[in-house]
Amino acid sequence: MEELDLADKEEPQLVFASSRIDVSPTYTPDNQLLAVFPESGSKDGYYVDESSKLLGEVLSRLFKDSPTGSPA
Amino acid sequence: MTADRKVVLVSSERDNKAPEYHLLDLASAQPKLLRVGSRFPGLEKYELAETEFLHYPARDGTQIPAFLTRPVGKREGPPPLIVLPHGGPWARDGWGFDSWVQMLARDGYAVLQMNYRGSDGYGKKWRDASLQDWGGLPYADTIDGLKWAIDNKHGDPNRVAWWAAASAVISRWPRPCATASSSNAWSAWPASATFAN
Repeated sequence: MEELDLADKEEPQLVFASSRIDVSPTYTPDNQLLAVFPESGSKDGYYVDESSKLLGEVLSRLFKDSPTGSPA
Repeated sequence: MTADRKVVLVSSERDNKAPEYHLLDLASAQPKLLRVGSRFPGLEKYELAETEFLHYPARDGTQIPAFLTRPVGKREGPPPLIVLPHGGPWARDGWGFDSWVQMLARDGYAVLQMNYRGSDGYGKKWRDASLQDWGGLPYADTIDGLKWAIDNKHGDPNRVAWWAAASAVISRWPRPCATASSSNAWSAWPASATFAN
């Protein structure tokens, strides 16, 4: 069990939720949340902001014929 | 990803293709992947095995998600079978390139991996099913996977082995059965071969 001290942080914001799958975060080099991906290994991630959505769109186009990994 | 978020190093893989790396320039008018190299360049000349995602029924009817990799090349009769449950139990296997699985498949083994109850990724109820019950449902689901594989001729019942990483294996399979682990392993079958690392 980890304990997080949020006392000096901004109010946490919910950016993604699912009752069906577990997800893992991917961060930028400056520790900004870039996207979350299902732990199943699927390449279909949820990209958080506009700049990361561009990355998601490009990758989806470039890998459009690739398998999506196992369903959750 | 560079600090300006314009150039990204992309890693891609699939079941029968080892991870390879590409550079992607998002500032380009038509972004394309520029291949950098492979994590395992020595594997590029070999045919690798495909991994099938499937479900098998546990003894209580629950469908257990699993991955079956058949050996490379055509062979007569069911192949020898390696049951390869993940550790944890709060962990999971996923579909993709697995160097252990590919090594075994190249040597003629079928490999069965299962996300037994207690695994991550299927919600709290599935994960908590292993609480204070490591020898119960997780074990039963693993054994049921082995039975399913044998019944469906995915493996030879006389040539079965367990291989587990960071996970204990207790085999009550009523036939001689080797066990191996990268951390620890044991078997109730007196003829089993056990070794570590």
